[in-house]
Amino acid sequence: MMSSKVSAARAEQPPALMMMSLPYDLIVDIVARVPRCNYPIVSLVSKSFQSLVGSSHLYTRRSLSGCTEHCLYVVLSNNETCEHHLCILRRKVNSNRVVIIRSLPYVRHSGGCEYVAVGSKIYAVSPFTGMFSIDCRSHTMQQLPGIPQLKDGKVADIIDGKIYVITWHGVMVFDTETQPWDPVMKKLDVELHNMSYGYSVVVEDKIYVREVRRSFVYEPKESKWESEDRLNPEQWDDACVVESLLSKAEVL
Amino acid sequence: MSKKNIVLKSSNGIIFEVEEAVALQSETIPYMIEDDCANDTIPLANVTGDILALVIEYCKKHVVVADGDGGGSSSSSQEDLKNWDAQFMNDLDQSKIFNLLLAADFLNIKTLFDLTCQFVADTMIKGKSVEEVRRTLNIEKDYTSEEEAKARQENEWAFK
Repeated sequence: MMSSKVSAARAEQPPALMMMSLPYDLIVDIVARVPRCNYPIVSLVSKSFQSLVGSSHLYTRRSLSGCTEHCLYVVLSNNETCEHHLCILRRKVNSNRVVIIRSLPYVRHSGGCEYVAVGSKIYAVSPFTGMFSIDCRSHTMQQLPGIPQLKDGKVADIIDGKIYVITWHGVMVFDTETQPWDPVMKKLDVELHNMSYGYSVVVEDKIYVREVRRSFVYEPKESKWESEDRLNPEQWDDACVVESLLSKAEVL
Repeated sequence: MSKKNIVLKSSNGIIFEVEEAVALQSETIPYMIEDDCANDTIPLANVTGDILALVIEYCKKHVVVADGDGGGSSSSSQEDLKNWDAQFMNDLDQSKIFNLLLAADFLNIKTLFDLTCQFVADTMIKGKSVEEVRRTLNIEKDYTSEEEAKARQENEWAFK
């Protein structure tokens, strides 16, 4: 392979360059490649780093460069006080631990609360306290205005960025892409009694719902609602879906 | 078989003659060729000679592997290339690294750009304390103690 210097002119050293002298876009490109769990430390380095870490620009760049990460969030709820605290799993080489995020206000959700994750946001759906969105990038919480009371129904799940809340009146659909939220109510052709203790999972874009004793399947595309006889004899609350299979842990 | 060569000229007048395939890893150079930047010599006003030498060293190494396996390189050569990349970056001082990043950005060589950004992220920021990052990147503390305490409180979860 040929590659030769034909002539050498002045031997000139480039000026010493420091990271903060780089164009802003390149600094964003570098910080986007730092793991998310390092950001709190990065934000303490200087005020310009703090504003960079808080900017949505950084997260857009992370998505474009394929630097997105998965984080595990856990909700700790106190049955006596109904306080819900959001926690995050801190992964370290020798010890994984769940840490409460104290900068997020805790919310009292009497009547429980369901949580669904869409992108970098977690939506909390509660029958009495309404709906909240939690931004996992900044760890800030916002109550979503104009949400009707979801009393007597709280089973929520997510398909294609839309949140489905199942109440005994029908299915309420919230499109997280369109703001302000404009919930669409779809009537059901079966009668549900009490969804407060209901449970649901999504398998292949269908929502499987367990009412107290009966199981149903809801197909959002056709707004079709049917009894799911195969699941009826089973108590499948607290089951989870792994690659289209409904898995349930038995207590022996 | 004769291969076409391309002549590149650094900002301080140093001339490099490289095979076309080496130069074309830059997505900027083809546009400069199309624009017919006079005398078949492509002037790179933003890149000094020593940085351009590094860019060419990187591009030569990477073009060899692509040729050797007819486009797809075997896993062992991928591994070799990764080790070579790591060594290549490790041998550079900080100022050279940032200049190389500017050059990779200007010349639009995506793999070199990614490599350089990742190297800076991994060796100068990731897993380091606030003081270490400040020292490494030569950044002055511009927080007052109160502001720093407040910022620490907001991100308290991360310091546990």
